[in-house]
Amino acid sequence: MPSPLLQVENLSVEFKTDEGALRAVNDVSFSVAAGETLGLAGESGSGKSVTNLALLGLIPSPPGRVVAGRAMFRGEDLLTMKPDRLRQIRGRHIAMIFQDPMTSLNPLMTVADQLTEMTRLHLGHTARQALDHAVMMLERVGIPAAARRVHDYPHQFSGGMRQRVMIAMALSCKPELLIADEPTTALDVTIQAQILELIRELQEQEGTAVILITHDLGVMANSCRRVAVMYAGRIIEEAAVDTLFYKPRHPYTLGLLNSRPKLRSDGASRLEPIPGQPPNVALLPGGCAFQPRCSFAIDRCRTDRPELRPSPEGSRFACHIDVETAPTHLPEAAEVRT
Amino acid sequence: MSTTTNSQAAGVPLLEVRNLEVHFPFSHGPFWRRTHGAVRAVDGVSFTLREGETLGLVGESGCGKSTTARACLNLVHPTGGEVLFRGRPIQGFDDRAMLPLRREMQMIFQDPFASLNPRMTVGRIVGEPLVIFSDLSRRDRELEVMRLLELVGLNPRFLNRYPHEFSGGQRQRIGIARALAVGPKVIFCDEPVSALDVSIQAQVVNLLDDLQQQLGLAYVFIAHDLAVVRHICDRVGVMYLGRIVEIGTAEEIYRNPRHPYTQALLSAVPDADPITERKRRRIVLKGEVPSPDRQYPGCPFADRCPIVQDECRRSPPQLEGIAGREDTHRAACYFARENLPTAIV
Repeated sequence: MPSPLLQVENLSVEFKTDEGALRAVNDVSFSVAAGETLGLAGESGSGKSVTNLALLGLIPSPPGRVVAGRAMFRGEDLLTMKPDRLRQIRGRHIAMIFQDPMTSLNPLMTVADQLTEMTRLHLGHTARQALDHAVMMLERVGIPAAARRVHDYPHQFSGGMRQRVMIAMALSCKPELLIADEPTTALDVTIQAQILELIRELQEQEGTAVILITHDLGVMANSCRRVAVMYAGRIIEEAAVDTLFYKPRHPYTLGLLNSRPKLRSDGASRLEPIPGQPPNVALLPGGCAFQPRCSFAIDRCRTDRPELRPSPEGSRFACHIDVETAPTHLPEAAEVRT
Repeated sequence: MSTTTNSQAAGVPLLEVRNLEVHFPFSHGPFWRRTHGAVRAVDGVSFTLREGETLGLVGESGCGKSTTARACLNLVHPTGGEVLFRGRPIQGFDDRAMLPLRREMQMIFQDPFASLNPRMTVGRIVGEPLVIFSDLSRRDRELEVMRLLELVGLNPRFLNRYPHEFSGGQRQRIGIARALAVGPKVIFCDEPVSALDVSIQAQVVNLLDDLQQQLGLAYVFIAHDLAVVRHICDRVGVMYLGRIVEIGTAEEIYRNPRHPYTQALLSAVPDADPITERKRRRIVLKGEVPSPDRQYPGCPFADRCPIVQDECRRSPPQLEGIAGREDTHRAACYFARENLPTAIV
């Protein structure tokens, strides 16, 4: 097996708060091979965005701090790299697109200024080359009349078009890795379909690897080859996309899949929610973080935290029980009460 | 899910909306504030709602689904059309005329953070409608609030807590308890679960299901999540540019969509099933939703429609029954009767 493009090992990130240090990302390890799409799933506060911000040195510090871990990218550790070196990598070799294209584009700069800034800095383009390149990128992401619109400001574009501008910008230096943080969450479904298709097309042409952060299981099934599920700052299951959807091993993954209505169901069956509330990482219980909401929990779950272990299908999961072979199926979800 | 219990109301729907219009005029220039046009947010919407039934309104942002709900409750003033409650028109849509109807029709909002006053305790938030609409004593009101909290699955002892002490899902429950306080017949739910985490959405959807069974409520359920709508709704209306372009039973709309926009919308939703996703053919629509400030001589969907013909641009198609299913399925497309190539696998 060729060495992966990005190898993250034991990453932990803490934030200082009034109530003490809060560990938002805890001992997270994963790798991304060249050209593949890794999905990072999880609910708000599960640490999926912080993980990726940490890789790019974008955690505001203080209060945030990477307390442990390595992230090897092309033979260098992103986490201990000098800021100057990281700046050369960011945008050039690793690019990121965010959920909200309005707040991540500079409203006072034209699209041309923002797109050319990158290529002049990273690729040493002249002003003329950079502008031609910007227009070419806008055409590639499907913006009509690109040569004229390149001189517009972000507010003159619609939400879907702004996300296209973001993608054009992210891909203009042909990065090896694209981190897409909920890239379609703010968009309507028909526009979402266009954007996912666009990312896939560009990925096929350029061989870019993608880390796709999303809470939407449908987007995951549509776009990812492997998926890692996070809960309370840790990866609790990682598997090939089919294994995850058809043979989930962790009760949380199973719970997420069961709680979503299916588009093609008859609509009559009752949903099976996960009881309780998403965890507060400042007040995690002993043992497994998911244990208070887990219908399979046994005594051991309250005292020992399960480590990630391999399954026969080649996935990894962190649970003492294995829902595949567990004696009982999920019981009727308990009455939700706090 | 739907139970029509009230025999006296047989024939007369609980709520009937006829040709509802909400146009927001706009003007240019600093001096002569002449009206230059109008954003036609809702442009001739008609539907009925029976007792105990759930009608879904779906469509992309800006299609007018929220404005339709707000106009029914007079939270924005309709500029045309009629709303009838139990067959009686709401006169003039002024606040005085609306007051008795607020007991019958309530609303739950999308953002459980913005729709609860952060300076009021849960007890006051849920109890406020009772101050206005009932003559219960302070003590009885408190008991009633505790009953309502229990009904929505919250601990009644939380009476004196403030909204910030609750999670998103719990806040949505508080909003539901507030809507239930006056004993309404219809609740307009405007994206009630879209701000919640996936694991919590199902809890709230099940709660809405249970309350409907127990209290015989009718819902107008507005959402862009088509899977949730499929699950909870008896009938579904699909909106585009301020109009309903297709309406029918959920079964009909999802299994046999006839309007090309409905087909494109359904085909765009990624399903949480990797094998179906790989096999699936998508209708990827070109372009984006056009601006609602223009008037279109023909079908509003014509510019993005994959099967557009010349006649579509001449005059707008009206909602018409699908042959053989006139009662359960109507679509506004000249080609809805013909067998369109369906892309939904």
